[in-house]
Amino acid sequence: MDQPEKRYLIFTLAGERFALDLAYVAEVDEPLPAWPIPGAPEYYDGAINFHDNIVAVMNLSAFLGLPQSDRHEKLVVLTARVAALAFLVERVERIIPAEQVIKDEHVQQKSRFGITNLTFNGGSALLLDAQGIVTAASELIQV
Amino acid sequence: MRIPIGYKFIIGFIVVVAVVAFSPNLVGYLGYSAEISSILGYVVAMTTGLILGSLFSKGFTANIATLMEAAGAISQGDLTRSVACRRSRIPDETHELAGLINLMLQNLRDLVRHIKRSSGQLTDSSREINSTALEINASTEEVAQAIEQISRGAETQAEMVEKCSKTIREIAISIELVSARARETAKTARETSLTAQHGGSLATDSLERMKEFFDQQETIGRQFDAFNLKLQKIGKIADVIGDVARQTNLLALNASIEAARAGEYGKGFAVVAEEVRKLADGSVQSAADINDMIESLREESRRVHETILESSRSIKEGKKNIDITASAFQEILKTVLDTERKANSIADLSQMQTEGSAKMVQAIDEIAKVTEDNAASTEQVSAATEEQLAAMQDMALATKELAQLAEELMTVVERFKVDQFESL
Repeated sequence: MDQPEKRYLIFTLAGERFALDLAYVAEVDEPLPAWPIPGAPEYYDGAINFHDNIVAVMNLSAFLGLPQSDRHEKLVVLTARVAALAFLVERVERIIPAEQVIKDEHVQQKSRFGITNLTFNGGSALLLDAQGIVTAASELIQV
Repeated sequence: MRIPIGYKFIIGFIVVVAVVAFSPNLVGYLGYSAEISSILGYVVAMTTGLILGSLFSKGFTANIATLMEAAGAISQGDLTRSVACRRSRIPDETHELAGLINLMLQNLRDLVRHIKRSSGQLTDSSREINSTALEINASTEEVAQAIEQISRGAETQAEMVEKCSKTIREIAISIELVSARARETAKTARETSLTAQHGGSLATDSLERMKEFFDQQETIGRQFDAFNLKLQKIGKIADVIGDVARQTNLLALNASIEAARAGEYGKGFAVVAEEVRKLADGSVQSAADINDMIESLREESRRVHETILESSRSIKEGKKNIDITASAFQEILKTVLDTERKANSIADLSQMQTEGSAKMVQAIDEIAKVTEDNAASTEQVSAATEEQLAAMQDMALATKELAQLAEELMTVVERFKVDQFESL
């Protein structure tokens, strides 16, 4: 498969910038009305109908153990090939190409799902491991 | 039958002579010798003549002795005894003389009695006059003292009248000053009333302006509402713009994602999508700015409105004050008009008082004149009283002398004795 140029989606959680590889992102949307999922851990906000697919909505800041915020403006839906999962985030800032980013892997990471620190013009963000999060979440569900 | 005493003597003489003539013849009848008879006849004639002569003379002169005795008693002042002659069938001059003496005695008695009575009365009267004169004297002295007091009183009165006159003149001046002041007050009151009228009309004008302000304030309020409504509409539009921009942003974002997924082919599209996203971001920002500005405008307008409401409340208070001021001006006007009326009345009264005081000054001058005349008259009366006093003293002296004279007369008359029964 032709590997396109890497891009990152920059968003915020609890006032801090995070980044996701755009390859894992299917769509960014406004938060939709969610149905509660019985027996689900509390960091799940519920389930939504996303283009006729049932997608679980995860409160990412709760999952990452960050301070809670009520202001979730956007819903980042992951591609179906990773998982039927969407992250509630505060704000989506921009999409930034990899060429504008400097990776700083030596910087101490704030979260266990952090891959690397991305520094770019206008700030820095922690690149999250979407695959790791999905795996951890599914493990937790199975437990 | 009355026979004068001369005739009685003649008859007696004739009788004596006849007896003497006839006695020798009668003796011759006795028979004695011639010689003896002649001697005896002489003797008898002489004796008879003597006896008869003695008898006749005694008879004729008896009344004269009684008369002499009576005259003597009268000369001694004894008027008590009347002359009592022997009754005779042949009265003569002695009887008439006795009657006349008795009449004289009676008259003398009456006279003495009258004199006694009169001198007594005179003494009493002179004593009374004397005491009366003394009383009058005392009274006159009192009168003199009283007149002196009156004189002194008149002097005091003159002084008082002078003072009174001075005081009244001063009062007259004061009254004129009061009159002038009252006129000035009336003038000032008139000026004040004009000022008060002006103030009242200004207050009314202010009230009118305030009413206009309130009307305008209502309009402003309505305009504010309209403004706010429009702001709201703008806000809604801005919201719509913001929403659209957000949607656009999202679309652009998703377009970018899609473009990234399209790989090399989507590169140009990704650039466009990014530009669109940036524009949408700018729109969101602008819409947010608009909303901020609307919020700030709303806040500003709210503040302006509150300020206007605050001003309106203040002005309402002010209106109340101006209402009070207007009514106060009305009150002032009323009071000032009243004051003017009263001041004019005072001025008129003062004018009357001035006239009255002038008349009073005139009257006081006349009183002063009368008082001076009185003082002069009092001096005259005083002088007259002194003269009167002197005259009274003279009169008292004269009555004293008169009483003395009456007493002397009494003493003189006392020598004449009259019957006690007839003395009164």
